[in-house]
Amino acid sequence: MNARPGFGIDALLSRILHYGGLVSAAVLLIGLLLLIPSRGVDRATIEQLRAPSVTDAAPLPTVALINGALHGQAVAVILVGMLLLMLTPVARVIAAGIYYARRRDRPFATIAILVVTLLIVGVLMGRLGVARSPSRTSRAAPELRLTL
Amino acid sequence: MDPLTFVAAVAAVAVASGVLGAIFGLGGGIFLVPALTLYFGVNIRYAIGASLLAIIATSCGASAAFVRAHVANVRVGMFLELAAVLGALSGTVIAAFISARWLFIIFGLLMLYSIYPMVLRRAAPAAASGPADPLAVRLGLSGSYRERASESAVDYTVRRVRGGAAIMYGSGVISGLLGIGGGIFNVLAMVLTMGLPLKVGTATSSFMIGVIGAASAGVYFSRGLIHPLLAAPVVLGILAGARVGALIALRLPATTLRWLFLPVLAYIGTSMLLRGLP
Repeated sequence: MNARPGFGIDALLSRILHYGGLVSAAVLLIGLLLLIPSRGVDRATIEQLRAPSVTDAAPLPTVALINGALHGQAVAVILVGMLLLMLTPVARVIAAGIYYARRRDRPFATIAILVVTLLIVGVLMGRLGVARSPSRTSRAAPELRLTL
Repeated sequence: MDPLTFVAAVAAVAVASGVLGAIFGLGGGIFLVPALTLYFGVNIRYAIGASLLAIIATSCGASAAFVRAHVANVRVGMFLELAAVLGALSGTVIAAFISARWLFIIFGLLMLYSIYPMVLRRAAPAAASGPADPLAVRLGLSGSYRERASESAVDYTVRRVRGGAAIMYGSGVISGLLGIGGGIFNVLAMVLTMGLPLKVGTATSSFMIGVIGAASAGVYFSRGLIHPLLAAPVVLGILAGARVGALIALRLPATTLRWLFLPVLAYIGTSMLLRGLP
């Protein structure tokens, strides 16, 4: 067998990636299919994508989102699928971190913690406007129009 | 356009991008962003946001297989992720401060540049050999993988860790800026600089791309630039397309059709460049 240290981690990480990708794709597909009968998609939502200047959206209304998804609202279901997809790589970093911490592999446990911290910093950057151009944040930001 | 028609058309274009991306070995984003912006008139920032999600999705599927087969080097991947994620966050900040026109110019140039290693594809870069970097020894980065054809284990050591990390930072910047995976640069860092075998480098790159994409996507999402009605058809389309493309790529006479596609790549790259020029 192979002598590479920490080989047992491969099965764990591969499972997380495989099922994470699969489940989020399935949720996205359900959301897309729900669009067909709903027909309620706002024309303005599509037009917004073509606007010459983008509008920074207000933070997502989490409660409305979960509520909408539970009621089978297409856009809300899609958003849940998107979140699951984005969380899959994060989950695999966290799993690796726990694995290394248990093995007292200090450098790699630290690396995992740092990577997760940076991922959180990224979300905060977007929310707090660090990664927004000054001209765009000063403008009143209309909400992303979701038919929630 | 009727919203449902729009979603269906985007899905179709995403399938095509996924097929082309898999045949070229470039990933779907490099075809998707031009298609959405040049032909659908989608704002490039939304196109990049949707592309980032597609990158995460393809990386999940591909790297699950690579990691299970013990080809991807998880330790090298985790270590380099630190530099690449830092780069991705820098890229999103740069993207916010430059105009869309510059995004088109940089995207076009990068596309034209990506033709170059494809021309040289036959001459696969030989893994540089030599003494391992002391830092790589300390971190236990060296590894081995099993060659499927010969069933023999191939051991390798890792060199120039700092140089590789520096390139990975740059690769992360490109991901955050343009919403593409940056696989070419990852391979440049891991194979040409750090001396990993090509197979291991490609697999580890795919393993890392998901996390790099997630870092950029976190910023784009919280800025409201990942639009559900664009992202859902894009992700599913590229996933399906990549699957079909991988099957086609297996049957293609390796070089001939790839050469036919080179002008397409050159044409799209030039179009993106021209779109950004005044």
